[in-house]
Amino acid sequence: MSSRDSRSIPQRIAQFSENYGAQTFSLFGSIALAIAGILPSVQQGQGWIWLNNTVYGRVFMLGAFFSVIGGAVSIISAPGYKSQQERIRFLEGELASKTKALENELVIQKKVLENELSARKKGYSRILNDELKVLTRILNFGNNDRLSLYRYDRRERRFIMIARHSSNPRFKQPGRVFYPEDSGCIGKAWEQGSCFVDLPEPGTEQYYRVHEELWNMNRQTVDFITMKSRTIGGISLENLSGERIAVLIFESTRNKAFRENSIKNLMNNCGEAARITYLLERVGKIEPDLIYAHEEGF
Amino acid sequence: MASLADVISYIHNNYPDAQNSLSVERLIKLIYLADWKYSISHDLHSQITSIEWRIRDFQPWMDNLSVTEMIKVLATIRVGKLLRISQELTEEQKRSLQFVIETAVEKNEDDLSRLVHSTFPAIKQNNSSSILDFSVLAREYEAEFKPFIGKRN
Repeated sequence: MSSRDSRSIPQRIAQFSENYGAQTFSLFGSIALAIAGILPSVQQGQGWIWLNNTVYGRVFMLGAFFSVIGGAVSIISAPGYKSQQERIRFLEGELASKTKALENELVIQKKVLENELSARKKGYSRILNDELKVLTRILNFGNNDRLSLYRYDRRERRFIMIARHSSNPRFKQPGRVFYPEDSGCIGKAWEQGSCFVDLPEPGTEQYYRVHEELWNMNRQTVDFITMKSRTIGGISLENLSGERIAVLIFESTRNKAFRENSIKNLMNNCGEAARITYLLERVGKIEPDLIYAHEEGF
Repeated sequence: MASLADVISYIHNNYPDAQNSLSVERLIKLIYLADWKYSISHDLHSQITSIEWRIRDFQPWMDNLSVTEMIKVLATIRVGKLLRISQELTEEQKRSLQFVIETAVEKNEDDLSRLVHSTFPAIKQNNSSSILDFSVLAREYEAEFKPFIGKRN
């Protein structure tokens, strides 16, 4: 036996009125209004006979009949308020589960695409950083040292830093985007093939003077530099056609941290320069290019 | 700043065949590009959304909470629940979003990635731990980049 059958009469009435209250009131309301319309003629002593004898009475009877039947059918066939609420709840549940399923699908899609893309982008961005990382290990570079690679932008005649490594997070942070071709150790190494200098104590007048005289860097630019190097060296890198394409800068806050000869030997005789140059040529096509973004409107 | 739901809804409604061709990865790039485009297109240099962007390996990156929120909004739009969303975007914001949509539609994933990692903030703050400050970056872009372009012309 279902729980519905076990309900008492008042419970059933309450249930019925909750489900069909509005329709029932509407039906009884229209019957009452119709009766109210004929009551004056009954009160005037005409009785109920005219309902059967006159055309008006017959039309009224027919109208009342259809109204009652229509109302009853509407109550029986129309879904009650409660069942409509249940239906809405069911649909909402369905929509929520559909949304959740789609969310999960999107998360999976994202992960797949992310892995696919990161494998490709690692090809560019990681490979050079990893190469510098290996080089810092070979050189025994530590917390006070840094390696940075600057590609020469032939169109705009300037340098763009494309890879950097230091075990010190502060020194690892990217600095400026562009570097002028005729300034700093980068400019000197570019012009002369290499540039190695031991610098005085940072903050001293001598320190500023060396920067000004050797590298055309004013006091303000020197103050802006996060890593105040004591030893700095730069080597220009050439492709197979003998064309200079980049500059690799070695820096340390330690005094006399490395020697020019040992760096040059490692780079030129042990194949490190050739390897970096090869990688630079390979990743060139997918390298970030500000001009490209600018031409696209960004 | 505009709500993420408004921005995603606008992109979804205006991107051709968004239901099938707008992946979450692509959507992230579009929103990043729109934030950058908007910041270099008006004087206040603010971004459209309030997403805290960072750059990792030259790609825009947002925290997991924002990604989850974005996916929720996208799923809700796709099942048809957010069709009547109120789009309280300014005309300027809509112009930037429209520009980005038109640019991205023509590009495959690799080309779009290249465009994204060629933007000034991606190069300037690659692998930096700081959140991108578009208003500062847009000013730096004007100061550092435009003079080079001027020299070239």
